[in-house]
Amino acid sequence: MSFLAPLFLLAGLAAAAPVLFHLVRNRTREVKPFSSLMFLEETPLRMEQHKRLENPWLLFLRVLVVLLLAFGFARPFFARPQLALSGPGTRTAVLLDVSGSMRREGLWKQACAEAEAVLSKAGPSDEVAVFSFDSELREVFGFDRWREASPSERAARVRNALAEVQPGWDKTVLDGVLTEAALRVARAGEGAALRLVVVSDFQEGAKLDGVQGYQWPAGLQMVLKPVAPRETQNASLQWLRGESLGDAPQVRVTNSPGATVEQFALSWEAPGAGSQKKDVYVPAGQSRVVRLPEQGAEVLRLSGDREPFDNRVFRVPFEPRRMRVLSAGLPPDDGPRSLAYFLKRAFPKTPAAEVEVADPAVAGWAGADLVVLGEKASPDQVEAARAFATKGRMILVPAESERVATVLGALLGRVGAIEARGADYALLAGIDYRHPLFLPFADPRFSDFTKMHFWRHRRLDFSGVENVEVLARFDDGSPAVAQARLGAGAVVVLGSSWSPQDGQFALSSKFVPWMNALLEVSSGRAEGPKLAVCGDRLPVPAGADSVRFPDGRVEPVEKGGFFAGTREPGVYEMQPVGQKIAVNMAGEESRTQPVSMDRLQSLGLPLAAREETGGGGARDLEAVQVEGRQKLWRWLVVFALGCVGVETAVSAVVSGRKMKEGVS
Amino acid sequence: MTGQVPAFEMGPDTAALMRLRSLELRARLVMEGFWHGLHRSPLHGSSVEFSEYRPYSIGDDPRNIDWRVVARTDRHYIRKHEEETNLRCPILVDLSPSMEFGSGSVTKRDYALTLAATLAFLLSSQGDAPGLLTFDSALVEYLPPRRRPGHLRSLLLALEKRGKGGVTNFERPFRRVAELARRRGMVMVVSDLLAPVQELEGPLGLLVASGHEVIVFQVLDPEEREFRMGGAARFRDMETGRELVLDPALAADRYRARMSAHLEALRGMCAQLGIQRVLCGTEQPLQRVLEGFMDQRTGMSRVRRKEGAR
Repeated sequence: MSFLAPLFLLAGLAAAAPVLFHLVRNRTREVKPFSSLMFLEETPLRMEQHKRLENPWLLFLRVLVVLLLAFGFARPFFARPQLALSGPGTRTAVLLDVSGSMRREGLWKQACAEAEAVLSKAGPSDEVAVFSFDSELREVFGFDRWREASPSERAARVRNALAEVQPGWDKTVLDGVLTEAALRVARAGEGAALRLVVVSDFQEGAKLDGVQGYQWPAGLQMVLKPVAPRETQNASLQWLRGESLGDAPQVRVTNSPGATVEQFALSWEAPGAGSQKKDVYVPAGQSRVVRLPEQGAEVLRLSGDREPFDNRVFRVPFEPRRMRVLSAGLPPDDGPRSLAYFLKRAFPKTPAAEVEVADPAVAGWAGADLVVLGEKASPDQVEAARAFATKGRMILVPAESERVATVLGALLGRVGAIEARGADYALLAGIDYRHPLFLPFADPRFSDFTKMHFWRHRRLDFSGVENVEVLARFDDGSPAVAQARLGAGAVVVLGSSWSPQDGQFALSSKFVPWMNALLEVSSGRAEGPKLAVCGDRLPVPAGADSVRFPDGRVEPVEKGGFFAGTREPGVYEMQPVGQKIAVNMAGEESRTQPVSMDRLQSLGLPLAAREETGGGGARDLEAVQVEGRQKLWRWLVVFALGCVGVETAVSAVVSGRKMKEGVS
Repeated sequence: MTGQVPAFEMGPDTAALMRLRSLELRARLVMEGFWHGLHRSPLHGSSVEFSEYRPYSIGDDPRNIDWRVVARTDRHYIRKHEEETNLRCPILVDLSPSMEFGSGSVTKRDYALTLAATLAFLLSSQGDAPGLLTFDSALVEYLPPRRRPGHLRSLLLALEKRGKGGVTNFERPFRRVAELARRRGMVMVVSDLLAPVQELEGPLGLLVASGHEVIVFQVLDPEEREFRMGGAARFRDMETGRELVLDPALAADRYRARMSAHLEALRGMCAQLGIQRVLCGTEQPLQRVLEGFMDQRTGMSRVRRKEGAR
């Protein structure tokens, strides 16, 4: 016979208690009422020697009840012979949380201790792998390396690998990590009990919804090992949007529920900012939005919080961009019929940018961001524009008439232009919304160009030019917007113009966004994201080839690709365009309240009923199942209850007899 | 003890008597046996007794003028008498928790109630006015002495009323009787008198000083006199709740000695105050106790008469 909880057998020692009670029973417990004690004095009692046990049958029943209960709680079962044989070991994957919230004091030590505990319990037939995870799963020590190592070296090697892991700043995507780890454990081989040991702080901000209803691999058991910090309260900072418009920076200060500290202070971390602080009162479980004076600093610090890991946030101070558009060869501005009139009004001044439309004869060609070339441009101007475009900028050429062919010919080669005849008006068709010029209109809310009619347009023929991309066509099939490569830059040709005689382009709602999109593409200073979170993939802006990390090192990046190295918070700079991006820890990581175990259980995770000891995990599981089928403890409890009934009856008889004796 | 007394003298057995629930019936049975066995008036108190002189005033009945005084002093004085009714006799019954004690089937309380009821019957049947005052730690019930139809029944009902318990307080009820019963009469006290003699002396002395003739029936259980209480146990005082662990075998001798001393002191005190004390064991038949009381009383009256003749 085996026991599931053999420690309960120690409770059988309580059987000594009834024996003692039967031995030391004292007759003086009997209380006799008497009319008056005024003539009585306390006398020493003659202690009766109880060498003989009183009521041996009662004693026997009482001892039996205690023993039966102790035996029942020990959960006895008849073991089957194969249980004794050693089966295949357990394959355990230890998942260590290295997200930002694990940077809190003492958590990583606890996590390492949990991993160490699993290692120390691992038997020779068990397999252990260690993974770290935040938003993705990373292998620290795989099953292959475990199998390759000799049993005596395994633990040491895992420890060495583990020593190089430290918590990062990324967010926790627990659901994706768990499902991936389950698949990896299941695929690592056949015939072993599968176990996932998840060591994490299980903070509220961790993403968990994806595991609901997930079909877990058969036989997988999950053991959750929550680690808890000494300090449970935390306050965090989060930037609010709207800053790019030049408003005063706004930050949201959030305090955790149940916090005892509610008074904080905000201060800029910059050489010139001084020690000026702004006090903020945030009640527990609430948040406050604070408007801060602009001081051009990149780092904001929160003081007063007991958990410092998320008390610094980064930003890129706002700087309005100054850009210049050169117009050459356009007819002079003579009111709302001319191109120059609308060109000047296409770039209104905004807090984000200030655009100047100038004549190259006055302002010169240097420092321009975009050139608009009319058909009256002189050959010198065309040549200067060509030189300008080959450096990576753009030229816009509107086709005012068939004479545009001259300018285009000088720029690109042989381009044909014929005045189109036919229908009353033409519409735009075949727009390439993926192109940066039309990207702002990709949303279906803005993609309706049917209200923009062109009374007149020119049929352009680019058959003699290479590298021409038609971005939009008129409904008769001729190119409406075409982009031709010119060196590093490009020439954008319109099949018509924005003059009111030609059509409704200038008067439509598309004109200003389109012209600004063109300017941004040309200048290479498109308004990219200024705020990002750790782990985000950042688009590399045009012209950038390297990135400067917050710690000062510079690494090359793929042009036009994505930069995925935002592992630490700080300000990253795309060089040489000078675009700065502030990367902060994800706000979810600051929600450090632990998720309740009830919620974790409700997600349908295959949680182990109790933690098994390393090597014998499978055997213990089988023992639990065998015991669950036999349920001997029920019979023992029933028998104990029966004994209690008999004991009650016997003691009633005995006490009744005693009372009679007392009366007589 | 019952075996030593002939049945015709005994009347009903005490235990059998106490099994009757009706107090009235119990009292009647005792009294009948008593009458049959004795046929003698229990109380010979004269109710026509001189009280005081008062100057005659117009309107007074001239029959009440004491002509001898007129002859001696030439002044008119009215001779006032005690009220024309018979003797007034309040019966004081102790209902304290200690009276609940009974080693056999009869408790001291049952015995005392039957005794009080019997006395009330006797007084009533003789034309006297019985009253009642029951007490424990406080006054429980008081019925002034009356002689009217139905009074006896309400007295019997009042007897059965229970008090709140607590330690017996003799001072207050006795003082109350002294205050209420201003006319001289007879006062009967039924109690176990298990209190220090010093505490009893004052209240009893007060009654005697008020001019009453006081008769004390001390009701005791045989175990209270002998203390043969079996094996060691914790003994709880029925009045105070105090507990003592003791072995009766060891404590009995000392108890008996102190009890005898107490009884002796009581006897001395009663003799000194002129109180007739009747010791009633609950094992004794009531008739026997009353007979003894009557014998004692006739003896006393003879003595008194002799003393008066001298």
